[in-house]
This record gives sequence, C-alpha cells and structure tokens, in this order.
Amino acid sequence: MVYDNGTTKNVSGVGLGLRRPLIDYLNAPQIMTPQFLELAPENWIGLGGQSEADLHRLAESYPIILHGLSLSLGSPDPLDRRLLSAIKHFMSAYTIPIYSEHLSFSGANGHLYDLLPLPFTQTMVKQVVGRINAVQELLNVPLAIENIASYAQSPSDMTEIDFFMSVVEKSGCEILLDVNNVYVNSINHQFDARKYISALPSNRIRYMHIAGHYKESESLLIDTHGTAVCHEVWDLLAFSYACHGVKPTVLERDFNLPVWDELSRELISIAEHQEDAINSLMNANGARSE
Amino acid sequence: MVHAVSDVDDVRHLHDIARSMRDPEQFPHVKGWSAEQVGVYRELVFNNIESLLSNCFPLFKASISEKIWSNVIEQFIAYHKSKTPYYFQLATELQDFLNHEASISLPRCAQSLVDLECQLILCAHFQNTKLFRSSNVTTEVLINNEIYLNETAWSLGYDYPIDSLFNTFPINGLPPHQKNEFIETVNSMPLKPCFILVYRNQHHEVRQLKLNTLSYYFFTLLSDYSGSAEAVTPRHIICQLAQTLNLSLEKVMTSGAELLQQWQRECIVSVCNPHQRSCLLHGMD
Repeated sequence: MVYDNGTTKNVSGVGLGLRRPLIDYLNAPQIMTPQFLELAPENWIGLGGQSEADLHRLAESYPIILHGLSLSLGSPDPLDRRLLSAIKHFMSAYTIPIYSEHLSFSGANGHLYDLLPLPFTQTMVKQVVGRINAVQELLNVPLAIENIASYAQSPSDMTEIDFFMSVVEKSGCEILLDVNNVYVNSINHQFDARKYISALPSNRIRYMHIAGHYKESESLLIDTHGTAVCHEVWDLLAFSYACHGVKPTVLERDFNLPVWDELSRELISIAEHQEDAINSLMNANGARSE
Repeated sequence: MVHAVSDVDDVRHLHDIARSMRDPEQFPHVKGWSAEQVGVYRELVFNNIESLLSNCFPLFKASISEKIWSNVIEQFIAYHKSKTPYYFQLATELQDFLNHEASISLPRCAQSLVDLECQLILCAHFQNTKLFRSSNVTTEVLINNEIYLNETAWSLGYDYPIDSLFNTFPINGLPPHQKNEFIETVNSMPLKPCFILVYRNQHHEVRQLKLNTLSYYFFTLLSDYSGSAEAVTPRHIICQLAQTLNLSLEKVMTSGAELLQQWQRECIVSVCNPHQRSCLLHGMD
C-alpha cells in the first residue's frame, strides 16, 4: 500500500536530535548547523508557552521529523489511538514528513517510559505488523521502525535481523537504521554488525541514527546517547553508506551535552562521511564508464 | 537464534518483563534473562523515571530523605499504571499516585508541595486558547471597566505556608548542607492557610505572587466573572467583598486598586477584550 498525506517533504543531509538546552545554539548563527531536526512528539505535543514559541521559531528555520518514544509497538496494551491522532495533527501543523518509532515495547498495564526488547517470534511479528498497519492507515504515511539496542534476549524462534526484516516486509513500513544500536547489539549478543547491515533492503531505509554509548564491560554496551560517537561506529556508518547509499543521518546526543563546538564537529563528521560516500560512488561509476 | 523454543506465550512473557521491571524483588525472574540482565533493565527504567520526576519536583524531593524519595519512585513504578504517553504529564501521574495509591509516610505538607509543583509545570506548558492583550490604563479605568484575565494565571490555596520556602531556600539548587534544615522546616510547618497566584508572563516565565485572604478572594471573584456573560467591573466586586466580609469599603477599594495596578503591570489582568482588534478605552495611556 502506498501512503501519502499530501504533505510529503523530504529531508536530507545531517540532522540533530532536538534537546531543549540546544535551542539557543540552533537559533544563533553557527558555522555548522544541522539541515533538519528530529524531535520526540511526546515531549512537544500539547505544550504552550516557551516550548511552543521555540518550536514555532525552529520550524521556520529547520525541517522537522518525529521520533516517537511512547507508542509501544509490541505492547499487549491497546494501541494508543489518541496519541496517534495528536501526532497526525502535529505532523500536519508543522508539515512533518517522517514519523519513526522503536521496534520494542515500553510497558504492559501502563507505561514504563523505556524501550524493552521483544521476543523474536512469529507471534510477535504478527502482533507488531497488525499495529504498524493500524498506525500507517491512521497517519496515511509509512512508519519508519528503528532497531533498538538491547541488553537481554527473550526466548525466540528467529534471529534479530530475521525478526526485523519480517516486520518490515509484512507491514510495508520503512526503516530507521540506528547504526550505533547495531554496533551495541553486535557486542552484547555477539553477531556480525556488517552482516546485519548488509541484510537490510536499501530502498526501505528512510534515514539513519548515530550516537555514543557507554561501555559497561567488554561484553556489555549501553546505548546512552551520552558520549561522543566512537570510531567503530563511525566506521560502521561509512559501511552503511557504502552498502545502502547516503541517507539522512541524525546525531543523537541526549545526556552530558558538550559545548556546541564539540557537537558541531560530530555533525561535520557525518557530513564528511556522506561526502566521502558520494565521491566513492561517483568514482566507482566513473571507473565503470571508462 | 538465541533460544530454540516453540510454544512461548509472548503476551505472558511481555507481562512478565513489565512485572519484573516494576517489582524486581517480588518478580526477580524473566525467562531467558540472567539476573544481571534483569538488573540492567531495572536500573535503566528506575533511573529514567527518577530523573524525569526529579526535574518535576525539586521542592518535594528536597523535603524528604534520599531513602524516602527512592521509596516513592520504587512504589510509583511498582503500583502506578501510568496512562499518559507525554513525559511532561508524568508529574500529574505521580501526584495521582501519591493522592490515591501510595502507602508512604510523608511530611504533612507533602500534598501541598506536590500540587504546587504540578501547577507550576501546568502553568509553564499551558496552551493558550485565548489571546491576552495587555493594557496600561489608570487605576480609575481599571476599577470601572470589565476586566479580562490572563488564562495562565490562577490562584491556589493550601493548608500550609509553603510559599515561605521559596523565600528562604534556593529551591532549584538546594546545597547539600541545607538539606537537613530544609527537611526540618518542612516537617515543622504549622497548619496555616497560604494563598498563591501562579502566572506566566509575556516572556513565558512562570512566576508566583503571595496573596492574602482578601486578595485571594478578590482574584477568585475576578476570575469567576472574567469572560462571563454578565459584565461586572472590579468596583462591583470590591463592593461585594467589603459587604460580605464586613470591611471598610474605602480600605478594600484602596487595596483592590493597588492590586489591580500590580496585576496589570505583570500582565495578569487587562481591560482589553481579547476578541476585539483594538483596545480603545477612554483613559488608556
């Protein structure tokens, strides 16, 4: 099924996850500013006052996309249609082209406000696909689902990548590829990160995430969004671009916010990786045509 | 593939995970997860909710020991079924829990503190439905014309003088050495009514004004009449107040006029009708 709400507006290049302490930087002239912003609708919908004024001002300068936290796609609780209606209205008000969510659940019998892992089973695929279809029908846009970082795996009858791909194929949804999460999970659950990324269909990847993580031990990484991106994840981003082409990429930094110059360097690094990937592709095409 | 299983009841498993996150002592096991993995997730859930609520309730958190605060968060996670997907509404969820479900011994004025902090959050985030247009008119004009209230201004009444805490302590950054003194002050707070006007100004800053009994009733009546079909002037309300409370009309009129001027300066009241394009009142400065 093709979804189009009539307000399709593409984003490209480098994005930044919006946090309130960053607003002053984003409103001031900077050497490097992101080309678009990603925000959590649950932190902005229905807010007046300073938040509303900030959002209006930012929306005049930056395209905005939504990255949800509370939809709880795998939850046994009923799908929150009131939240979805509010998101639909919000997307229309700010001409927002993308809404993404996590392939996880965040509670049963009420919210726990965190991302909990789902069992990788056929039953779960069916459950999640039904809910994603309901979301897409209500919003009339394809949902992009994110591969989450996880620190435990429940009894399953397939691998994580097979589960993820099953959901994507059966629901027709898009992918938000979180490169850091692939890396974190490849350490926590010992699989080949490159193999995971290669298995994804390029044409379904709508955009990407990159972030820092915390090394709890040699075998346990936690996706904190609280540190700089490590070189292994930068390498994996380069690999992702080589595999799937350059996609819009959001830097997520939620905690231990550094000074703007430091964040800026990471935004510039994403842009450089994108440029390198485009140049490599053009050189390869040039070599072929010679 | 991690585990070869054939008949996993997924829904039950998700409930098991959620139960274990809520109450790891009573439900320590999740099928397929090690104790360490359960611990990692439980810590993430606890820390996230604790951090969100700490930001909402600096005053309430400072009024109790770290141990009791942790206990509040643990019980909240264990027993309260939060319905809101919106993070800023988590404060209201905690208030609801403390008022109806919690079994924790808290200072007598805890309910008042929690309510005030919820009101401050609500005021900061309130989405205006009406335009407020400020005015700058003489006292005479203020007294004799219909008054319009800023939607983000409301009066609150409490049983304890919690307003005094704001004057005595740096609430948003209480130094550790003042923690015990703060707890002692809160615990020894006498039963005495306190009235506060909470409002958001034109710069989106949330402010508080202390009200006395008379100004509280004056504001409440202004609020009741504001926007009602019955056009009532402050003069009429002041006369009504003086009569009801058996006070000198002259004194109440003087106090009422001063209050109206202060509230006009703070953009709490205005003579400008938000539904009219211009504010052309006789006496407008």
